[in-house]
Amino acid sequence: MTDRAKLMRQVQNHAFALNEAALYLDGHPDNEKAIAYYNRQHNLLRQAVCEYEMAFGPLMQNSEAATSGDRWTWVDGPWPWEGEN
Amino acid sequence: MWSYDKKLQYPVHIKTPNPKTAQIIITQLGGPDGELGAATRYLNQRYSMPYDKTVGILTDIGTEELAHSEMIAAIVYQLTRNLSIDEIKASGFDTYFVDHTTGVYPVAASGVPFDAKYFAVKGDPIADLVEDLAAEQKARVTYDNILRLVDDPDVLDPIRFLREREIVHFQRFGDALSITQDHLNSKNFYAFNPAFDSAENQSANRKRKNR
Repeated sequence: MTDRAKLMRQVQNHAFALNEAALYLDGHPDNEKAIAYYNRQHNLLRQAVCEYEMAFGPLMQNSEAATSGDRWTWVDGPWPWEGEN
Repeated sequence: MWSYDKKLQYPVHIKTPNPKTAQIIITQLGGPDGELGAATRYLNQRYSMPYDKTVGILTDIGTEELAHSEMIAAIVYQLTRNLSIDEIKASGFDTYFVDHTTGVYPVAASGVPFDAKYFAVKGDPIADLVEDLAAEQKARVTYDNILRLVDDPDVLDPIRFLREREIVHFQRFGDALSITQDHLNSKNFYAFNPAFDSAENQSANRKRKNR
């Protein structure tokens, strides 16, 4: 697995955990354990996204990594469906 | 993947319900030149685009179209709140109401449900981008017609915003077409399909065409 793929997998893992927690919380908005889990995953996801974007460019259009110096790096491939990550 | 922002791209605040107007405007959700077709068209055309810049343009415009379908749904929702059965019958909204009550279902103004036949994915960048240019113009005309048919300023304001976006998207697709043509043989843009023909089968293709 390339470094890029490893960092991407970290982002995907934490984002998936966060998404699962969010779906559960939609139906149980006062569940303290789920809130704590969500907050933990949220921090981990933020770190993972930051690490990935520093090395390989932006994951979201409104992230700071969308620009790099004079370049709009948002438009640089590879794109997710190309199977490089 | 996508994530959802809990906001409309542009505000929709309609004070006076009007089911007749809703029945006209819903065509920009489920009709032939509506926002649902636009989003699906652009997001599905991305995979066969060979150039990053055109992929980026399709991704970002396709995503914006999803937000526009939400705005249209918000307009339809606000126009059909708190209706009495008498209002529903008198306005002609009864033909929609009988099947969908006041739920938001993607249909054309004529009542025909949304259909993937409203858009194309041809797998050839020039063909697809020219379709996109036409699609933006057709959506602009539909908004022009809505502006002719509606007079509530609360409705006109977001409709004018959406109409303006069609014009901006048309310009951006013009950029995408010219970026694509810059990558092609300037003497014959159609010498090969950059989404399909590899270097080897380009020459095979040429031989076949010249035979």
